[in-house]
Amino acid sequence: MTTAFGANAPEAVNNRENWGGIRMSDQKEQKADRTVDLLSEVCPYTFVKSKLELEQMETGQILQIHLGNSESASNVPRSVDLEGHEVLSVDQTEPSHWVVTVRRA
Amino acid sequence: MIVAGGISLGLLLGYALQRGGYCMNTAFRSFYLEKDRSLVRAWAVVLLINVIGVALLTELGVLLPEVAPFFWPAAIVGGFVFGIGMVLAGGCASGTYYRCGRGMLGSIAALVGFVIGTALIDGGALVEIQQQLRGTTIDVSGREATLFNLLGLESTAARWLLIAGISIPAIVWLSRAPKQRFLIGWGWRKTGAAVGVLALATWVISAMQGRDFGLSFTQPTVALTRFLVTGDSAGISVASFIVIGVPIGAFLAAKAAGEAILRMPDPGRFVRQFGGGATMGLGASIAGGCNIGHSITGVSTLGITAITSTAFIMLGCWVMTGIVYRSERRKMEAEIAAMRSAVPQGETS
Repeated sequence: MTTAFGANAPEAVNNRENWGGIRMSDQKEQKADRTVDLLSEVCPYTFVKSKLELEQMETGQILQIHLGNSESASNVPRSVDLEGHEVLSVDQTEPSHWVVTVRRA
Repeated sequence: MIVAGGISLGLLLGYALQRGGYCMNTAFRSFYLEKDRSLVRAWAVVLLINVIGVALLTELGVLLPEVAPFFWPAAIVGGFVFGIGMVLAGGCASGTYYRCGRGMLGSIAALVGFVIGTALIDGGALVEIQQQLRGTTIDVSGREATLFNLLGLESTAARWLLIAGISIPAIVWLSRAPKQRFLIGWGWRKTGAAVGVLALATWVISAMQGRDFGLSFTQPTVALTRFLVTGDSAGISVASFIVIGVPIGAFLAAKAAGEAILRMPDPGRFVRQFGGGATMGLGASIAGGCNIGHSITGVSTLGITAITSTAFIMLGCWVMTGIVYRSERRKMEAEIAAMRSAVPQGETS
């Protein structure tokens, strides 16, 4: 599935200072199997919905999560990472819009 | 001094909360459903600074902390109700204030609800509930309801021994923290240190004006509302100006990071956040404090009411998060079932 902020958005790189060691856009070619728009969601819905989406998917499938605030864009990847899933990238595509790409474990 | 000190502290606090994404709803929730403890660690740093700092300043005679009587039914009911409201509001009391500054309209709805909820209980139409629930107290040998007095720790050495007994395991736990990955803004150490120092500074600046309490959001919100509506300035203190400063500081931090954007949630969520804010307001005014007044300032004095209320805020948060999780899962399963039944026979794999 492709979105307006999909895999090839050129501006979607490295425009924040600290990414905790994660290189943005290393895995840009990954196509998402599912996309979930959580731009207007706040916690705990951002985490709950991301977790539920991942539960519905099969191992190896890619989920793209669109988030609208920095807390969620920081907490959601950390939580799904600790759940054992692989966070492929966290990109800020525009102010207040982050795209988190996760491969289901 | 009250105005300038309060606004300055508020600006700095709002800046720190936004940069650190310091949401105690997330901290409390993370014990349940999640494995990330970053915000719990930030909270632990805040408490370490304040438990030690308040004890030291009390010992030096700078502070004489005011401790809530142990009105346990109010602490339990109010805390639980606050915890439930916090999940629906999409943020704790301080979280709601700073997110307003960032332009999240759902948080503004939650703040309006919080103002109404606190006003209804604190001297409002529902004041009877507060009076009833605060009517029953447990006496701690006629002294302040703190862990120190509950355990009968009379000497300075014994009190410091208790503080060491709490702080050392916390420091050990913090020192074993894994590296915080996927960080945006400040990490837990910096966030906890900033919020902790500002909370301690609030104790000192308040004491200079004869107010023996630290950072809080509930009473100052009530006092501000009363002043704006009736002109009665009796409850106004440095803390009321802090709550004015917080959204402004958060706006400045968000603006600098390009995150200050007006964002409207869907109508259902908007209404839910308003209801959550009102519920949070009712709970906070019953319990006599929120995630800041109780869970930071009250816990710093090792007050039993604050500790009890914090435990029930967490419980309320877990119960409501569990309900949200189940209802979202049912919704998703229903959607999938509907999609499957829409696919013609033979095409499903």
